[in-house]
Amino acid sequence: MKSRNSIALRATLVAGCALAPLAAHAQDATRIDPIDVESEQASAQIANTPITGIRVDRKILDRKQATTSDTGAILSSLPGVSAATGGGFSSMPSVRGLSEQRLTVLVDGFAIDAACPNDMNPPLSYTDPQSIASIAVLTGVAPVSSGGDYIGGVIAVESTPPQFASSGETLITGNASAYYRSNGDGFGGAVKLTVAGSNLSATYTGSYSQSDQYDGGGDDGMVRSTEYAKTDHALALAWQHATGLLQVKGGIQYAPYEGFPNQYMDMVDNKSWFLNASYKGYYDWGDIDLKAAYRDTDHEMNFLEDKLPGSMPMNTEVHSFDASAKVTIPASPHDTVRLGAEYHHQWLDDYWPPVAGNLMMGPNTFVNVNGATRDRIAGYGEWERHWSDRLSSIVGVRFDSVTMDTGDVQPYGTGMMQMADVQAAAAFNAADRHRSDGNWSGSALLVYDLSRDAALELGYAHKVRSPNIYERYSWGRGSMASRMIGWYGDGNGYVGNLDLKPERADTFSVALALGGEAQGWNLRIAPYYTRVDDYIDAVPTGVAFTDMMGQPSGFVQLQFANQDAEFYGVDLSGAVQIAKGSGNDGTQLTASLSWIEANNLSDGGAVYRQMPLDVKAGVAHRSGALELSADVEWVAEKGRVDATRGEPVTDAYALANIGVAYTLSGVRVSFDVTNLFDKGYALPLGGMSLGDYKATGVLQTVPGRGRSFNVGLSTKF
Amino acid sequence: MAFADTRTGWSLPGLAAAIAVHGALLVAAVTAFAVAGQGERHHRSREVVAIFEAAERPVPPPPPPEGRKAGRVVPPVRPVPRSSDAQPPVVVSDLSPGRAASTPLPLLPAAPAARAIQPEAPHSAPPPPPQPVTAKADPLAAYAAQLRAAIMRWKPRGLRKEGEVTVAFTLTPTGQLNATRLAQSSGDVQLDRMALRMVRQAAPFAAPPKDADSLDFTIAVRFH
Repeated sequence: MKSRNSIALRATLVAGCALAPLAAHAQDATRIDPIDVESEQASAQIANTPITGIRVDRKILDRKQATTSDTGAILSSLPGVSAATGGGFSSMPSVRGLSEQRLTVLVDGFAIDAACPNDMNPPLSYTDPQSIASIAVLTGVAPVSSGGDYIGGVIAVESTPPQFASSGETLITGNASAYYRSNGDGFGGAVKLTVAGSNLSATYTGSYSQSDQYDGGGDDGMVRSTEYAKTDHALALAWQHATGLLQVKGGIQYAPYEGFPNQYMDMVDNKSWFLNASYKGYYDWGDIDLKAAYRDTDHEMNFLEDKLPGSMPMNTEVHSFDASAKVTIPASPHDTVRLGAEYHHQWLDDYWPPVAGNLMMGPNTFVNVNGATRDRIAGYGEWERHWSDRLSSIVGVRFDSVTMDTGDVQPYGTGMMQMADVQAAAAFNAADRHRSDGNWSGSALLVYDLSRDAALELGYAHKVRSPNIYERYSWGRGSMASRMIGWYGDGNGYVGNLDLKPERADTFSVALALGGEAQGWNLRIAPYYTRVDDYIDAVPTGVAFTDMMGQPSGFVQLQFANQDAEFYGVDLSGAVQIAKGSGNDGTQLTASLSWIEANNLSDGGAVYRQMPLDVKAGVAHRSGALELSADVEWVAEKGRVDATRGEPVTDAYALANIGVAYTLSGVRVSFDVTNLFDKGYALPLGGMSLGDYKATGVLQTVPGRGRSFNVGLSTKF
Repeated sequence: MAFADTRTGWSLPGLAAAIAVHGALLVAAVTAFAVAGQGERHHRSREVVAIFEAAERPVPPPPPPEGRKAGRVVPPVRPVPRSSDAQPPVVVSDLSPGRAASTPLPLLPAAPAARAIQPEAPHSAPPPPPQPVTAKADPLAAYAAQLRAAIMRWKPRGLRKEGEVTVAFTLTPTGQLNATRLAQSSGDVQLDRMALRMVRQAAPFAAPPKDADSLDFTIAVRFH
């Protein structure tokens, strides 16, 4: 580990530090008054969209990690963010009504490709709330340098930045945590250990989580197909030298099972490993940020216990390679220019092995996607200007070239019952499947500090996303084949569409922040409007599915199609410090409200899966080692539903949670009760409870989790 | 809820590491300074240094003793409320924008600059030098204030990191940058390089006063 360079560097550092005062004194250096570089002002933070950007830090995660293993669900506590139910650790966040690949989701700065026709392993499923250092969510207009090929918000999950020891020492630090949740008998733990010198640092993080099926509130009983288990392990190395920081990280995740209450399938095995490297160099002319990453995912679906009997293996393999370069040049004291280039490669294979003895699922392998590739090359330029100490702007443009192609496909067989798929495969194989899109995007942001108590953020963006592999290349038209496609949890079947065009979104976002820490209160008001042309929604193919008895099941077959849609709403949030003690002591009241309405302008209906009015209020008190908290959430009836998908109406409900934590000798012990009154309710974004449906024949929406007593332990060393 | 954190968004572990590292460095530097300074603290440079220190604080606060235990990371303790009403950097930068670095500035009184660091007293590493009172119209002091204003124009924005870096640099008689080096690292390469970059980008400076007996300077940049 101790390269010659590192020793030389260490020596230089030690010498530099120790001798500096001596040298300064001996040479009669004139000491100039220190300069303070503050980052607090909104206009200084423009690149982080200071008003519509929200940061979930370690303190908040400490409070939440004992109550859920689902990072997406944690984000749903933020104004403007909701979570669509997936598996126990795979909720898909929705930011201002846009979800899935419409968002940029980064883990340690890297995107993670979808690797499942049901999107069971979205990027956040590879994170564990216990191991995350912070999550930044940009709900408004994000600068083009934050990514491309998306039209909504940005979610960036970050691990702890590398830590280094003071010169000559060895730093050993870390933390450990564990939890137990009564509802579902969930338990897990995580550990992080850093060993570092002054310029080399190694950090191991590992976590384990598992849970049985949870019980719904009230009389809802057990919610089938909600069990899960997973473990994540990663090793990060960092080398800090005179002009930069090199980081290399590798890791593996293994999830042996994860039930999906609103899908026909469950995840029965998911293995994913990755290796990434980044270099950040800081030179006199500017900064350079180089990144490269490789990820390999093997994903398997079949039935877990609640969906038995039966078997239907479905396998997906994905290889992704990602490389990017970004240069940041301070062109003048007021101007910064960013230039960047990105390359992203995704290879996806999706095949369903035959089931012995089954007439429908055999005798051949069903080739759902045959070695599809999706390559994206992008370039962008961005100009950040600080017009004064109070006014800043960022404008940028980028171009993304997306090229996709895929190989020939085949159905299970050529029997009479497989005719729909036989014909569909023949048509698909005869078609030209190469697609390329040239997507121009642009964004403009303005942040103005009106006064010490008020700041304004204005944003406009035009962003474009090309269809994903399943939207373009799913081809099966048989009942079963099409019902295996889709990440909507609605029980309907989906057919891809080779003719899909990229979606183009224009977003206007305004945000006003009032008050601040010094004033003891703050209020944020953030209205927005997004119009999406060629929004990828779905239209009926005319096929309605029947159940085993030949009766209509209520589910239909849909095909992806470009439509137009609009999203508008307002996010309000505020906090009042009602008592302030020394240090962190005090009592704070918080409240937030999210309201959104989304219209499909092509069919005049509502857009699927939109959160109804959601109001939250909480009080948190801290006094020395003692922390107390109580939260209530009220969600209105979801009456605006998508008729195309047969989306169910869900009732209004209110939930209450309480928590207490005490830190003793460095060990934080927490006790929380979630859904205190054991309220039975339907998850507004839960979709249909297909696990329950298969077992009982009764179709209902997925019930929310009932009361749970949660105990958490955590310590830092 | 994240309301209170949205505009600041500090990464606690990063903060803790930075504070611990630079705290330890500060202690080391102060110790070294105190020991080394015993013999020669009344040397030539007393008038110059005194200008900034005279109004600043009569007694040096002792460096915080914690944060040294085998280089361990300690929880971030904010010694100074960040919401302090005096916004010193703004005051000074109001004077500087728009002026070309090479344009000699009117003599800035040393007082505002000195006042600026008052609330942060526990932060400063060096112990106070002797305090002669005859510092008022020293041209080198005025020049130093001018350098400070020029360097401050290049402060980076939106970093959201905490740490302190001291840069030492030497000028030529025409105000060109002769040499720069890191006198005290923050432990974070990004902050170190940003501080060095500020000085290098601000150069060339206005020509120093002719009678200046030293063209060596040090400046601390404190990232909050």
